[in-house]
Amino acid sequence: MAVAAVLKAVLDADAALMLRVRDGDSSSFNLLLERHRTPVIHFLFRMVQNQAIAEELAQEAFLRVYRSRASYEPSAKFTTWLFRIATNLAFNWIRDQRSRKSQESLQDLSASGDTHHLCDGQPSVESVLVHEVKLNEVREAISRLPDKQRAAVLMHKYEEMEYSHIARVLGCSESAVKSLLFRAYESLRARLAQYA
Amino acid sequence: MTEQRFRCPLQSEENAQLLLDYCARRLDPSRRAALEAHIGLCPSCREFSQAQRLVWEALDAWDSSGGAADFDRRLYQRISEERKPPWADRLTAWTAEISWKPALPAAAALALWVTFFPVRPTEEAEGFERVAAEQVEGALEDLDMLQQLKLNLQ
Ligand SMILES: [Zn+2]
Repeated sequence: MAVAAVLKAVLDADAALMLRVRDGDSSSFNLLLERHRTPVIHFLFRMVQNQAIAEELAQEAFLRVYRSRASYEPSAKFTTWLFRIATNLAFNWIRDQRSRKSQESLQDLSASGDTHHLCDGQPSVESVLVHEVKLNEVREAISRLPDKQRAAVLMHKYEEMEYSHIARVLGCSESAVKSLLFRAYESLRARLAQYA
Repeated sequence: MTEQRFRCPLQSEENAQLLLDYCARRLDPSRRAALEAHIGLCPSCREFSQAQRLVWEALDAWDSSGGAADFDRRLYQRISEERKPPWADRLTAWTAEISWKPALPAAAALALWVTFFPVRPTEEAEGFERVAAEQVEGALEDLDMLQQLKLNLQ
């Protein structure tokens, strides 16, 4: 391994864990799982809007990481690699779903998929309804974004990733990410501003 | 930064990103102060940032608090299944049987099984090879992804 790679591994604690997984330490895989399981599932849930599918895709993403352990080299940030695998799985699933069920699928899934509520105390019926309407609008607006814009917004808003990080996950330039985000938020402003 | 030197972010798409960063609370204090001063004077930027703030708040409503209760257990089960060769399950079942059953019925059952299902092991082996090949292919693709990321970084 080159010196630069070693340095990067030191800087990226996840990469260091992954190197230990490569050397046969399964407890390090467990640590990686603990650190990234929830963000990956949440990201995938917002991508595909169905909890069961999101978990299935997340399982596949971690399984792929595990399968690749023997040849792992810390050439990129671990989370970049992990989110790239997760994003590609989501893109593939969405594409397959589209070709199977054409347009209606995402709306159906968002209606039938598990919804997560904010649970703070005992909200009134009215506030629950208002929240529900707003939530449906948000899900609908996100699901209508083109795949790449959707992934970019979710990583920017919910994972709080830097533009450069999103760019590496999506395999495009930083300015392309800025442009994707600009267009995505433009659509969201048109749809959502009234519901906030 | 003074107002005279501050160019309206909305005059180019590249700079408009500044307003998105502002609404996402990602600007450092000095740039935020400069932009706020500009927003105070520029109706277009004011309108843009108000709308973007509302979008930001609407997105906040989409909480994703659901956790997968037995996610790890299922994942480790899949991992251990992949590690196991395809004949392992049958061997376990078979050794469990012969440990308490009399040898003759077990041998008869084995003979019957071999007679009626002579092709199955080959099919399963082929199936396993296919699955294994797909997994290797998938792992190679994932590593390929890692290589591309490496190239992008250089
Ligand atoms: Zn302006």
